[in-house]
Amino acid sequence: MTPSGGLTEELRARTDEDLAALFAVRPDLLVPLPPDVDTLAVRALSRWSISAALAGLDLWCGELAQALVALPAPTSYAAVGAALGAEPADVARGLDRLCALALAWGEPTALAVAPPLHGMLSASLARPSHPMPPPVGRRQIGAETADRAAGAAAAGVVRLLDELVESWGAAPPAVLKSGGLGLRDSRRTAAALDVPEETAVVLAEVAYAGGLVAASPGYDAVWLPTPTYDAWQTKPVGARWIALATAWLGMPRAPGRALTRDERGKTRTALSPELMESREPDQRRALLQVLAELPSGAAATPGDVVAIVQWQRPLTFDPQLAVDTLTSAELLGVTGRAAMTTAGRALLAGQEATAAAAVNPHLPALLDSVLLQADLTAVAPGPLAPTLASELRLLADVESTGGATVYRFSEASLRRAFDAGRSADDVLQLLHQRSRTPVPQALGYLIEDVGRRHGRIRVGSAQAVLRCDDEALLAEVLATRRAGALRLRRLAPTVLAAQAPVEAVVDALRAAGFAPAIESAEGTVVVERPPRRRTPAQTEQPGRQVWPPQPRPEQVQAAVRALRAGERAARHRPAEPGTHGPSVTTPMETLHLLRQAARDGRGVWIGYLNAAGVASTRIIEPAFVDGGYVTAFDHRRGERRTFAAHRITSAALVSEDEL
Amino acid sequence: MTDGPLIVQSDKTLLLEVDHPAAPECRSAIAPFAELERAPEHVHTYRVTALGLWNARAAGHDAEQVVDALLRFSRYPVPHALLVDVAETMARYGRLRLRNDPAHGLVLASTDPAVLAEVVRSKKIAPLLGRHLDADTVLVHASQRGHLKQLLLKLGWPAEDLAGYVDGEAHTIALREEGWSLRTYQQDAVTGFWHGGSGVVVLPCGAGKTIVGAAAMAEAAATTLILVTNTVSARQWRAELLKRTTLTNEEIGEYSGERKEIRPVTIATYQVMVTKRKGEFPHLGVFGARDWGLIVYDEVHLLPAPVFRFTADLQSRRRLGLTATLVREDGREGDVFSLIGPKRYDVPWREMEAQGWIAPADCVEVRVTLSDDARLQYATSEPADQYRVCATAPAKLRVVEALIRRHATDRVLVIGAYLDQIDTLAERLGAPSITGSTRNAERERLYEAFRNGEERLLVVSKVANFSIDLPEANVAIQVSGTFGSRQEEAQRLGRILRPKANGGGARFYAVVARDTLDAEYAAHRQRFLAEQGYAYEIVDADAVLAED
Repeated sequence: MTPSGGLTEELRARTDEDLAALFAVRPDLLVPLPPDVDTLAVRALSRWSISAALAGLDLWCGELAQALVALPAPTSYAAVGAALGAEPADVARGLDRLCALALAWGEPTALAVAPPLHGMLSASLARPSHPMPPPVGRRQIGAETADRAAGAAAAGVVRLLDELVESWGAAPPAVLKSGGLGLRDSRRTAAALDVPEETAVVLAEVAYAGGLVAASPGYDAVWLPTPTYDAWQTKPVGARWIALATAWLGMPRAPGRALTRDERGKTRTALSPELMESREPDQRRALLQVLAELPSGAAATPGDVVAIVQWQRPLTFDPQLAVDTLTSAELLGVTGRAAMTTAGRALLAGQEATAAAAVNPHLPALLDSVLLQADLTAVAPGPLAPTLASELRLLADVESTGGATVYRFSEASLRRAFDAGRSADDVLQLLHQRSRTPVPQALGYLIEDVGRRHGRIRVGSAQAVLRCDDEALLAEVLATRRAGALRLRRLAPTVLAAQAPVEAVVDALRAAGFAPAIESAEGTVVVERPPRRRTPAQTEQPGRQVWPPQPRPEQVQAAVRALRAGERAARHRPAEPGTHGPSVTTPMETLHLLRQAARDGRGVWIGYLNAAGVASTRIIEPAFVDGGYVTAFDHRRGERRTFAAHRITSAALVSEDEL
Repeated sequence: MTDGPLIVQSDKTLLLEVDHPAAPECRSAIAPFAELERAPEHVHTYRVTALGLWNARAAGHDAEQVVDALLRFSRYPVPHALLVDVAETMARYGRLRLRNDPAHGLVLASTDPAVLAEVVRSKKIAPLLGRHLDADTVLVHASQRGHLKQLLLKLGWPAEDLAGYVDGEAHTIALREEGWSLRTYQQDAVTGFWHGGSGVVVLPCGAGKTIVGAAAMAEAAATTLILVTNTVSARQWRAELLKRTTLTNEEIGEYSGERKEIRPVTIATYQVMVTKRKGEFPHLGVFGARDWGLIVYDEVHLLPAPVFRFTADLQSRRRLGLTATLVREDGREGDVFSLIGPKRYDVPWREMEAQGWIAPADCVEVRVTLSDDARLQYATSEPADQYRVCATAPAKLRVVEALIRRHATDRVLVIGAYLDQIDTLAERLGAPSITGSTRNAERERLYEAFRNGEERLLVVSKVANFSIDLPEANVAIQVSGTFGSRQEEAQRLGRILRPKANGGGARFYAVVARDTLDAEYAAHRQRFLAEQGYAYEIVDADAVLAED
């Protein structure tokens, strides 16, 4: 038998269909394309490929594989069945699958097992074994109930996403250095949306996966709404929901891990790379598929759904994330009251149009009117048409959300609208048109009142101001052609504003034959003198200092040492033209030389590159060499210093007389 | 999608569209468990809280009824999580019960050993408990009955108190229904309270709280301690009791700043109870002065903290709380629930509506433009003085005079906060004034004169205004000052300005200086009055003067 334990022969004997089936369940065997069956067999028996194949096994196949490892080879279907106490049909189903995966091969009476499995699986005979997935306790709640509940959730999640992105647009949260959303920001978002923090994280992740928010480029990055959001926002609620649900279904991320601690005790944050989980879309679909395969309108508990998927894929399953996924499915309205919805089934099957048709009847109709009340609130008893909603958000502050939205008008909110260019008439007209009830007198009064006060004081900027008691003279200035460049504007009969610096205005006016005087900020006339050039004020008066200054003794010594060292360095410089410093030495040689010098107490002449990459030559007296560093007395600097050995480019011993 | 009148919000408020045909039915369905927070003209806001749900449980409603009400009336599907939360919250009430064991005295019992184990583990609760009688029962120190209930509520496991009450010293009290009779809802309130043992009866202003108190006393037929907010209120209680019951003057004592009488029925003020001397409350002894069979707390929402503390030790006596609202500004609704008791009765809205008690008054805000001098003075005054400067602006005087001429045949109260302004007004209007320094006798004489029509105009300070009940007034003009809290303000206004027996409306004017702090405060007042359902209108002073 060959080292492949007969697999080569088995594969060679396979029909084309069987081979194709193998490639379908073990796609990794195809990359790169194997040149012959020998190579294929070797690859199929590699531990890496086998572990990928094992990851896809359900609990029963796993138990069978372990039994194969435990029983003496070659074994048979009957022997395995007897060992596990299982029905022959179950055994045949499971072992056929292992054979299809090329983890076992041969005849039902003489079965071989892939040799590497011995090292990869523990040999055991599971009693009791689990040939079938655990049963699902189902409750029939009716498709209508599920769809209705999910419809409400879908409308809710669209509204929440809208609010989330709008709030980030107004006050963008910072992108953490690690790429996530800060804990404070996720808390703040949760508070703003009136949802638990975990929910806020899921919403943020969906917004990100759906491309509604993205990190701004450059330093100090922030999370901002994207153009995709602007397009998304104008679509009908149903289409908006489809976009969100699809993004959620496919996102390779595990929002459930956010707000938990990683191995180093740091809290994982939303939108951070730590939440990447490539297996999550598969697991998510597997969970939803369990619900989708139940009869329409049947609900199952999360525990049951999780148990089934755990049976299907015991090796890769993450139960905690599975529970989070089912919670999110409810939040998004893919499931309703723990049952798969009509729209959710269509989405899983990739039929977006069908999904839209299924969800639309369950979404509340958009309203185009509100109820105005004397306590200065507007109540929208349902979702508003996008244009009306954004106009109201400008005019008033949102006070409560849910099935309805409550807006509150205040002086500040109205002022905001006036600042954005609305007039009192615009606002009143809008309210008259869009209110189902008469505009309360107090609200009308408030709008008029804020409108009356808005913009009464106007603030502008001018670079220079011209005053003159003679109105006629100012009129003359205004009419002067030379003053055109000053962009003069009349503020009052006796005041002009100019968009040019004071000096330019004065020069231009003088040139035009006027005689202006300069006024200070306090209004007094500034007296001008003919220009005389001066230095800025001096703090030290040079004449009073002794020159040259008397050096301190240690400064003198240091100067001498530096001078000597410089001389020595120059003397020792090798004769070859174009080279500087001692010849380049290898690090080993350098260290050897330095150690020797330290032991003998001799000077070394080194070429050195400092941290800034500047080369220098100097003579040092090494004291000791340790851990890649040389501690030495630097003659040039006259002090003890530490040099990094790796920065020493060359070294040579200095002869005694040179020191 | 149904077309119900109710919308559930994510912050657990319920919006009720009042013009909807099903609104009245919906209101009666949600009133037992949701507190009315705001009642402007079209959409009323109710809030669902744990306490509200427990009150409903205590009143015998179950989660199924609550969930059914939400599902039946909600316009949009109700978030499933909210329904689950409601059911879970309500299931927490009554898992623990305080009862009297014939052999061992006060015990805490549970049908759910896990819950009992959880609370016994609590560090704060453990010291209040004695030994375990069995897995479901643990002894409680009798003195800790109130304290234990407070702590259990904080843990989220409110205990049902079935430990019973002492009868107290018997004293015959009977109602004298001569020319009047107990209204149906008043009788229901007393019955609800009596069956519950202790608790709070919520009645809107003017619904006859005193009568409910008197009827409860007749039911108890025992010595009674009545706690009221202040002396004037104490006198009103006494007058009402003399009129409505067989009690005589000698049987009723007043325990206030002025008199310290302990009689079979004693009316004490919160003020005197919380007076501190040398770090102690010398008057709390009133609670133990007699073997009271009933303690009545008037205006429970204003009950001061020290009285709470003492009430914790009085858990074996029957307690009746009377109030117009369960909402406390200090957020101690939980203590009212634990120590006085759950809500035992809430007057059905429709009943009150039919009685005409909730037709609110009209409010008119008159905006006065300050003269240029006054504006400058306002702008340059110290921040601490700014309000006084604008509130006492002389420009207001002419407006007040014009308003008084407009209401020449009405009973008018002019309310101010600054003594100078009150004096000036009293002088210019030729009307008597009442301030904090006016003696009680003089006050009562003037009130009496106002009631019987000798005086039709009073100028009162905010202080004096706090302690009056003048149902005859039908116009109030406020020139300066804000009442304590907004809630109190709206309530006081409701009290002064009751709709009249002859069907005439009441009107409240606030004279406000435009573009100043005064107007800013007025904006708050407007909001709260509008939320209480008052009609609110803003007019310019020029319009008032032109009409004059």
